[in-house]
Amino acid sequence: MNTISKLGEKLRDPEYRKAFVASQINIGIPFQIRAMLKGRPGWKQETIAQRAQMLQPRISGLMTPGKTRPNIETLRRIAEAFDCGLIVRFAPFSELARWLEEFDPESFNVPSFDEDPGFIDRKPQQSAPVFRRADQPELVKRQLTPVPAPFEPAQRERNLIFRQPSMQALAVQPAPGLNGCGGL
Amino acid sequence: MNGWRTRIRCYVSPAGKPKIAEWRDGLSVEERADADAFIRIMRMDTDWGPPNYRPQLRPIKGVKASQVRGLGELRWISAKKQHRLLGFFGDGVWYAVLGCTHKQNIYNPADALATAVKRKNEIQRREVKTVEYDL
Repeated sequence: MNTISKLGEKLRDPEYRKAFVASQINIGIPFQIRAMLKGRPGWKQETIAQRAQMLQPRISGLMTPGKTRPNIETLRRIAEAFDCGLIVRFAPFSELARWLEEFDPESFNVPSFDEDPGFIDRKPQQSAPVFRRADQPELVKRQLTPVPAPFEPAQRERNLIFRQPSMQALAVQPAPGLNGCGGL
Repeated sequence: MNGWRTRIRCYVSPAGKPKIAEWRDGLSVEERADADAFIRIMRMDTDWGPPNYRPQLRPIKGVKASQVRGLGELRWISAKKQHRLLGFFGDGVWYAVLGCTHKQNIYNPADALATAVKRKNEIQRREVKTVEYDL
């Protein structure tokens, strides 16, 4: 029996289903926070605490699997500290199971906005070579092909997305920038 | 994916009882789901280290340091209890020998460490079977 059908068997129990959703948050989030901290050289728990305006012991608790039950506001502040997005949405159990089946722990390290490969290519290159065309005296920057702005500035400022709740299971996952979807 | 990066095998008693499955079945639903989530993530990773994995247990009264050498523990919290899954690495596989809880240096069951040492020795002497972790 593969792991999805094994999980499907477990999820037939309504009590297990309830516990399963909570576990993905209480157990999964600490792994993500730890991975993101590890991926930022020089950062300590104090760094996150300062940026999230929390106390260091609280961060320590949030990094211990099962120790705390982080609420959405706490997760939003952690996302803010890491300058990454946060996706909270409802999903069918089958999607959550599939995501668990396919996820890679290395994806836990979510880049900050400045390191986000989904946006790096679109950002203006400050050091791009500047040249004058004989027929067009205005300055033209090479490599700056016009790209439609993916988000309005106000939307870009927000790092929390709520999608329309429609199904049963809750998925919470820090996400790079504002892209991507999935659940933990 | 099923790409477990760390394989886990479980102790089976000489009488053929899958002790890790029995331990899991004895947990509450909440604890079972947490254990499943925790172990799933650990299996997908190769970077086993503190705080989620303590590679070397400390000896306790009645169990010598030489006996616990090589024994480690997976550590997580569920239902406000510190849960432990004791085991050891060998041949690129982590052998789970016993599940228990832990509070202020006291294991529950109290003989958890001594039992883990016994089971580890049985596996290493190939006196018992092990089964792939499939819970």
